[in-house]
Amino acid sequence: MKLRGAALVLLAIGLIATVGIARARLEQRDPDRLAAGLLYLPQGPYLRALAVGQEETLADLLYIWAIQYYSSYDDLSRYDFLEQVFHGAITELDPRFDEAYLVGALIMSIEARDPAMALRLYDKGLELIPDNWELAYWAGWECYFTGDYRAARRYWQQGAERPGAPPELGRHAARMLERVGDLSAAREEYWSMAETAEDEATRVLALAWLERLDTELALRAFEQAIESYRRQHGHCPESLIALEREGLVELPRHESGAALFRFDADNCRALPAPGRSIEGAR
Amino acid sequence: MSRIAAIALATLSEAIRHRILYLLLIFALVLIIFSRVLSLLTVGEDVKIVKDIGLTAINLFGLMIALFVGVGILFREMERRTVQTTLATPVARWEYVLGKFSGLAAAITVNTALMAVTLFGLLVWREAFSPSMIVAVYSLWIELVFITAAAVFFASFSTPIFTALFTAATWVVGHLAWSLLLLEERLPEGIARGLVRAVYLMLPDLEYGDVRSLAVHGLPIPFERVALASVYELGYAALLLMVACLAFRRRDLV
Repeated sequence: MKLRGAALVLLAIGLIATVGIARARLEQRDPDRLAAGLLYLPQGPYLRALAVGQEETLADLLYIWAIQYYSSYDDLSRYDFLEQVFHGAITELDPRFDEAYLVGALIMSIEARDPAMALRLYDKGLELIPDNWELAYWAGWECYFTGDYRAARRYWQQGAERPGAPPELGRHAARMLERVGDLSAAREEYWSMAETAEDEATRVLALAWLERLDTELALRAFEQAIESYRRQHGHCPESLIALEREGLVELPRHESGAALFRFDADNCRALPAPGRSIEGAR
Repeated sequence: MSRIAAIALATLSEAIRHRILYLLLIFALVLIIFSRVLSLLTVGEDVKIVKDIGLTAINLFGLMIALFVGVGILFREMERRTVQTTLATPVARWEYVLGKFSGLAAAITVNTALMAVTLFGLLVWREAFSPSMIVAVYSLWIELVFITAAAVFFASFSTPIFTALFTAATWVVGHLAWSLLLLEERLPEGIARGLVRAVYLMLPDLEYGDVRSLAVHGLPIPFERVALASVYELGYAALLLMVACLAFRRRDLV
């Protein structure tokens, strides 16, 4: 009787061990099966049908699962189904789930290093949540960090027009004109911002940027004028006034008549007058 | 009227004594409270999770109460033949049907209120309560009243198992009726397309009254939509009860 009991215990232990080992082997063999399973989820309205009226809750549960799944760094292939999870499933079930767009796009951009995928998700969110400016804000930064300043400007402009958007979006959009090299357009936009700003911070910043931009433009003009002078006379001008005398440049002056620029004879270049910095407004 | 009220009261007290009711109610309340724990696993939007899961719990457990408790109560008297005693008194069959429905609807109302109070309490504690949640719960309650009417309708001519199956199917169909429009779009002009359209119009569409998404995302809920959906679902329920009364009049209870 005792022998039979011991045999049964041994059998039970053996079975538990077999099941455990088989399970562990299966986990090793196919660690991303949960995410892969999402590939079989139907798309669009057919996915909604699967939820039978509980779309938002299903989206929440998938979102919670996704947060846990993408917080783990064990599975190297975890990003294979990233777009399917956030673009194809969660935001399809709950199209107004703004946090899912933000978090999904952050994972796509920072973790999976696929900014194009992140932008596709932002675009979807911007289309489906017309009153959300945050998605445009982050999409702008996404483009900014990839060096696509025109696209960044487009997103920030789009966001600035949405209800509740902070003035930063408009300011960022204006700054992008400088980044793409369209300085005259940037100058116009700064003027317009300074004149129409509803908050003091934006007005002060716009004026500061305007001053810095004017300084930069003037320094470029001086550089060209000095080059022309050197070509004509074979040496460096003795002062900035010499450039003006030759008609190569018009010296900008303060309302009080004080000079806004000085000449650095040692290095043969123009510099902002003391107290005036081109870095000041950055 | 007093006879309907008396049957309704008896049905309500019978429902309240039902053990399954308490089991389901406890599960629902635990799920609503657990939604707070679940929301800790997310990034941002934790209140959205609490609201979504809370409303889904009210919806699904309300449905289960209608299915398990409702169907059980509807058939118990028929199986025990005590229905004959009731109908031997001056109670018309239609009064019996309406009384049973009213009692079950009252039980559903009490349960929905309990679940709603728990959810609202949780939201008040999280400082996330908004009046639109009351509208969302109201819409769910209307849906559950409709489902109760559907259960009474199927019980008037069917068996307990089929009544439960048909009632559950009505809920599923009610939330999927819109998918027939997708099918309609894919069909060429003709009889088949017209048939699909006709089926769509005949089936109940419970998505009209489902304002959960609007309430959870803090969007305005159009009063007209809620009012029209209530009229639609309650009107449909009244129609089902009317047919149920007619069917029960012809039913052989011996």
